Amino acid sequence: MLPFRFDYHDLPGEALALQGEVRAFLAETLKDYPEVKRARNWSRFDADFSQKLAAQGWIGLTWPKQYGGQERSALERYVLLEELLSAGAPVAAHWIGDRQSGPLLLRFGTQEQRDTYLPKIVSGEAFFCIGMSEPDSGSDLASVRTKAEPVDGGYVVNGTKLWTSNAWQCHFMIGLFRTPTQEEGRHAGLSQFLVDLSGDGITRRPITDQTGGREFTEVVFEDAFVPATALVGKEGDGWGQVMSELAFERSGPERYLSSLRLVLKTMDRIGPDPTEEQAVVIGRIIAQLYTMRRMSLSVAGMLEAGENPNLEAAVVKDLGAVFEQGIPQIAHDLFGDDVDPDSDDDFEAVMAYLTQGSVSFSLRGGTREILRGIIARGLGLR
Amino acid sequence: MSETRNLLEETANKVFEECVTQDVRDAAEEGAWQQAAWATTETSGLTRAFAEEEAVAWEDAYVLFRAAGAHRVPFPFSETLIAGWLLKSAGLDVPEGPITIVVANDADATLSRVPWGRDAAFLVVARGQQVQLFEKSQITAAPGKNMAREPRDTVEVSGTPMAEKGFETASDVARHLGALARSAQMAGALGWMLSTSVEYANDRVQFGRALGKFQAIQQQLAVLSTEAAAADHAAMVAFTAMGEILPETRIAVAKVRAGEAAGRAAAIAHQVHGAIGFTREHALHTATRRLWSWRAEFGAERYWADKLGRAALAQGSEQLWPTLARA
Ligand SMILES: Cc1cc2nc3c(=O)[nH]c(=O)nc-3n(C[C@H](O)[C@H](O)[C@H](O)COP(=O)(O)OP(=O)(O)OC[C@H]3O[C@@H](n4cnc5c(N)ncnc54)[C@H](O)[C@@H]3O)c2cc1C
Repeated sequence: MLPFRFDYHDLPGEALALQGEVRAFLAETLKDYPEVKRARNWSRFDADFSQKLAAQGWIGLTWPKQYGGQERSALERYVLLEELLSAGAPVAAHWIGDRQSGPLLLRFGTQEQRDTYLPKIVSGEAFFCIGMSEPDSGSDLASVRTKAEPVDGGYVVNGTKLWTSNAWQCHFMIGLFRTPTQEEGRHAGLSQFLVDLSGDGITRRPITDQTGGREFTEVVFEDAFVPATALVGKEGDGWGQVMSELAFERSGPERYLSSLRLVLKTMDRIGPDPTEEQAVVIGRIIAQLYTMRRMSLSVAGMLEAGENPNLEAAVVKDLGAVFEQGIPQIAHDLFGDDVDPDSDDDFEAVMAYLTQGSVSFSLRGGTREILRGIIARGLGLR
Repeated sequence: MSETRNLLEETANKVFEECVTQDVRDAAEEGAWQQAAWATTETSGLTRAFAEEEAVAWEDAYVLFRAAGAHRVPFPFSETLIAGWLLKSAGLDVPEGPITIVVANDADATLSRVPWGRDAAFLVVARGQQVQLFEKSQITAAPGKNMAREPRDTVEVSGTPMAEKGFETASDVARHLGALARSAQMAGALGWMLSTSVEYANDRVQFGRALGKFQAIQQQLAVLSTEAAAADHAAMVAFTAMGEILPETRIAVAKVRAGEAAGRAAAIAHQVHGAIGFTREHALHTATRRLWSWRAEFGAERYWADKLGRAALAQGSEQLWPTLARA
């Protein structure tokens, strides 16, 4: 009756073994890591930390050994991500390469691209960002205007990418640009390029967000030359490639664990002897959290089985964002104090950050409205 | 999905489609016992899924409860199943016929809100640490009902039980079984409500367009579908871990999650249906009123959330994630 499939999946033994290893590693590595930084989670860029993970072999975990990967299962990768996120590890530096750019290259990249970049992602030496959004193109991604014009030996790029997470600290961007085409239609003439951001004609400017974070970046291309070898996949196939990439982007556990820190700090504040009201509030959160986790695990299981849980990923992301965004409201209703973002009190600092930060959770990676549009299509309404 | 499960679901849907018509539901609401529908279901063998030597596995039986919810079955189908499981687990024989079940304390003289107490051939009382079986002639039922007008009677029993067995925490087990059953029934009702609402939105035309073409309606129905999906998965997850040891956390989660979904989803379904959905004639209320009732039965959200919350807070925040990732 439901147009979705959420099969039951449990973690296999290997995944449970890895869970223990990752926990032990994080307990040690993040021993003195402050709560308010943990709250930033996968927004926090820390090249050192990513290199430590790389040393464990935990970047590109599922990729072929020939590129430095471990050929482990999607469920093992799922467990790794879950543990990193629930501990609030600063994973932003390698996150995009591991989640999106690497898999994209594995699917559509040339042999040379794979040989060159995958081992560097795995070793924590190449950090990637996603150049899709522009000043005039957000939800309506197909309207992007940044142009790549063919010239001798490659292309010349002009235009501006905006909101590109951590581009100012990354080495490479997978950019979506317009290329010449005879075909009609808004989805025609889009191509993906792997751009070395240190190149001439590329200016990067970090943009401070309302939490004080500096993740956003504006990337301006002025007659920037990219070699022909930078084209990913086929010229003109960018739209289809991007859509398949979004499935990776939307299905992970990062879509419901972003407010976990505030749940934990709220629990600490309540303490072991709650009133009935407090116990009920925490119990409801747990019911949501546990259900989200099972649904997320189900999506991972379907990915492992080689299925295409695009619609299911949209469901999890939408439910997850509603859940995550509800947490600051709940904490406010319980305690209601004005909080100082720079407070030494963990609850205060985490509460301040997540109240301000959680509004972005239903924007990044496809807005709530866009996701619900995808779900509505799945229901046969569009 | 296992083959058994597919087969069970197909059978259940076929049986219920045939015997549970809107007329049958209407008549049941007036208080009339639906013998023909019960008999058809019993003949199919579905009511004895847990009663025989070769019992159906819980993870497969999930679809039976869900189908009963989807078809808004107006007789104690779920109750017969869980009562049967409890009897059998306590080492007692499971009689034929409709069985109902109630959770009671040792001292309770009257048993309240017994589903179909007046109609059931047998009553299982999970009283403290005892499982007791009574037959119809021992039952005096004062009629009562829930919001969906399903019989929820106040019952007194006379004489000694036909059968009785000590069973560790019978009343606690029965409450979990009831919550589990209602979670799956709610998932079924939510699924039906989603299909019905989508269908309605595609048919009904306003401003020259099907309602379903309006983005505001699409977005609402998308939310309804995500709520239904969450309730469904939470229930399935709980059923999958059922066995001799109750998956208490999973059951509590399923009941809370389904209850929350019920509230949100029913509101959306009614909004999408407009006035017609507010009538007695339209079938929408056969789901929404049941959802509002079922979310309250065998422990409402606050009952189960309180348990979950207390356990987690007693353990402390450091244990929350490891506990959830294991549950
Ligand atoms: C923290 C964060 C990190 C990000 N990182 C990246 C990144 O690394 N790379 C990158 O390329 N982009 C990134 N983005 C950009 C993100 O993809 C866009 O914000 C998103 O696609 C929405 O675009 P917009 O902000 O221009 O809003 P708009 O598209 O202008 O939308 C504004 C509002 O209108 C709604 N809306 C728009 N169109 C419709 C419609 N057809 N029907 C109904 N409602 C509609 C939207 O849902 C939204 O609520 C990031 C954004 C955030 C917040």
